[in-house]
Amino acid sequence: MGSVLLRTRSGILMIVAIAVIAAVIIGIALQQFAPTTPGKVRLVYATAGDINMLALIQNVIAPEFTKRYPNVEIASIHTGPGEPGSRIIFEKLKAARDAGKECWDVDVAVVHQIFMSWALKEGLLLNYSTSIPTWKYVVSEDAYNALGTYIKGFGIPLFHSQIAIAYNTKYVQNPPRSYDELVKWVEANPKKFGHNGIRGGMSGVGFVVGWVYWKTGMYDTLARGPYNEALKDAITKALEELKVFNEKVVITAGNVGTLDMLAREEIWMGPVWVDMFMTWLAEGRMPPHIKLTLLAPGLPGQPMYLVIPAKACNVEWAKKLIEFISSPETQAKVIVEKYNWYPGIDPNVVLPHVSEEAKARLFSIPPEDLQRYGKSFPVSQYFTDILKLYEKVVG
Amino acid sequence: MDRNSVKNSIKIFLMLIPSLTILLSVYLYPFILAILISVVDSSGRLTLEHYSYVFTVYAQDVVFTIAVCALSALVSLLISISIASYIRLSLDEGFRKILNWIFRFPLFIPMVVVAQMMRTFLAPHGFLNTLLAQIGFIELQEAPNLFDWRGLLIGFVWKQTPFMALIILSGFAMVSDVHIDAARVLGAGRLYIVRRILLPMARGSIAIAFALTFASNIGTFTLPYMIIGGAKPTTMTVIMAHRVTYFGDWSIANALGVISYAVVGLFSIAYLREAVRAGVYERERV
Repeated sequence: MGSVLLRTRSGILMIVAIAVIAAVIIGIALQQFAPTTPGKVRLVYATAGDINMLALIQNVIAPEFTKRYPNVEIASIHTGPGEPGSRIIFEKLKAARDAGKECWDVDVAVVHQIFMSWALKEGLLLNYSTSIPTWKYVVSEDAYNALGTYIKGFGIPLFHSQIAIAYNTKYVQNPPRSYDELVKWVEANPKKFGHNGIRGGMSGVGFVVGWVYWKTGMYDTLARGPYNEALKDAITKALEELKVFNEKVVITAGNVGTLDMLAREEIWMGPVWVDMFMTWLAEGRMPPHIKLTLLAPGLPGQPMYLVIPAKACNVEWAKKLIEFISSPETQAKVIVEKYNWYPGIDPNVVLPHVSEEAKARLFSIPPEDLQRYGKSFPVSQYFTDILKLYEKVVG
Repeated sequence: MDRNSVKNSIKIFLMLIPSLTILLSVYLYPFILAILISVVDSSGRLTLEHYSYVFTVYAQDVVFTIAVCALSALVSLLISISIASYIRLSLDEGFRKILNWIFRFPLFIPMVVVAQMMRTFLAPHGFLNTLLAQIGFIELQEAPNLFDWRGLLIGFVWKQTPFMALIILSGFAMVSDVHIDAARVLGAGRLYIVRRILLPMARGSIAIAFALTFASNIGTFTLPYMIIGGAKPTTMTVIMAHRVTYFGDWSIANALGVISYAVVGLFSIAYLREAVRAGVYERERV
């Protein structure tokens, strides 16, 4: 009798437990779809990129925007660094489209260049940018061409970021001005130059791409297309020479790995993202005697874009937010001064709002050099070829 | 009675449904999917091209992964056996308590934190080399760069040893004091007791500890990604991430995944079958 009672009791307990778990799950699920307070707009902002991209929206942009429009609440989603971050946004939008949803739950997204070709092929983006007032400030080639895809109307550059060579002035008084000179320098100073190859982040990828531009001498074709498979031979040859070069350098553990080794003076030179480098410098994590330079024929850089999904729920508010972010004031105070990026819009309208100190940082690489040696990444097929061949040829 | 047993089986079935659903949807389904994706080409036909790509381009990395993970598990095993033996056999109550508490520390530190620690600890001008240079062991300008298999080995051992020691310690705890005391009375030393009593009787736990550690080493991404980065050779997990990140290429990523399942699976089956069975039977006989 007792055992029967016990059994029923444990049975009841079990049912209660299952009910509680089910209730919690349903509760969480419902919350996702919960309507916000009437009159309040919930704007969903998804961003790829490093953690600073989340800080940008959460700590700076969202509070400012909400101060102006108290009825708007910005919910930010961070999908992670590098292109996988953009891929997650792409797959989320594609899933929403495939599920036949009328309104997708992302209003504004910040994405890498490669995303544009994926998303436009699937028709996932809204043609919006020419209809917002700040479009008149958009002057860069990036706003029209993303790795060979024509994107006019579908995105506004949030910022431009550049890869440059950092060097330690204590050991390197006359930094190399070209890849050619760099090779000679490395011959004389083995294991004092470091880059992160292609599996550890884009600063290494950029260095490799620049090498291929130099060795093949075919920047225009590689960066603008059209695609020609026959170029694989030239790329292979360039990479074979890179393999020899790599024997005398250190392969670091990623973008931050290169910065770490530079800061500890384990290497004296290496490719870095300018904005990461400047932020480290400003935070005192990088000794001030480490400086930046560019190499001829050039090193690549890239923008990130502000886009609106084709079926965003709050298109008008999304446009308002993008207008706010791409205004000369926000670009000056936030993008340039706070985050050390190059502005996404015309520098001529941004610079008057930038402090002298930030200007000095921004121009540590002279604008003429930037103009001459700041290149684009290759169109996506060549880019894929370079990366795949690197693994086959270099390792 | 019949009615009751039917009722009972329905009840049991209902109770099993939640866990069964989770098992099927979260484990079995992705597992089968991974195998499928790795043997199908873009037009949906069966193919082995992804595997042949892996073995032409990444063979070195596959071997490297297995070797480093096995070696790390082996070193962890030796250290954890000595820790567990000491705790089990030591008569010094105070020190035993301290050791018993301290060795668990790394258990609560996530792998990504371990990786970051190792990056500053093992760097050419990092803590370890600076220390060695201060004592005059090495010249800081020629300090070795340990960001290769050695860095991985140290990271894995640091992180996994406590976990292994915990399992092995529980195996040792199951060995009755009677045996140990009897051996002591007959004059057996500590090493002898470990070798002839503890190890054979806890064989099952040791095998499980080794297999689990090996499997978890093979599946680790953060440590090799942060220590080795883009250098060659690297581990399979880093390459999987690279294939997906840059090429959206799930086929080769999954082919690598299936290879790691196969390695871990075959290894565990062979090893555990042998060791656990023997261990259990021996214990029953005792």
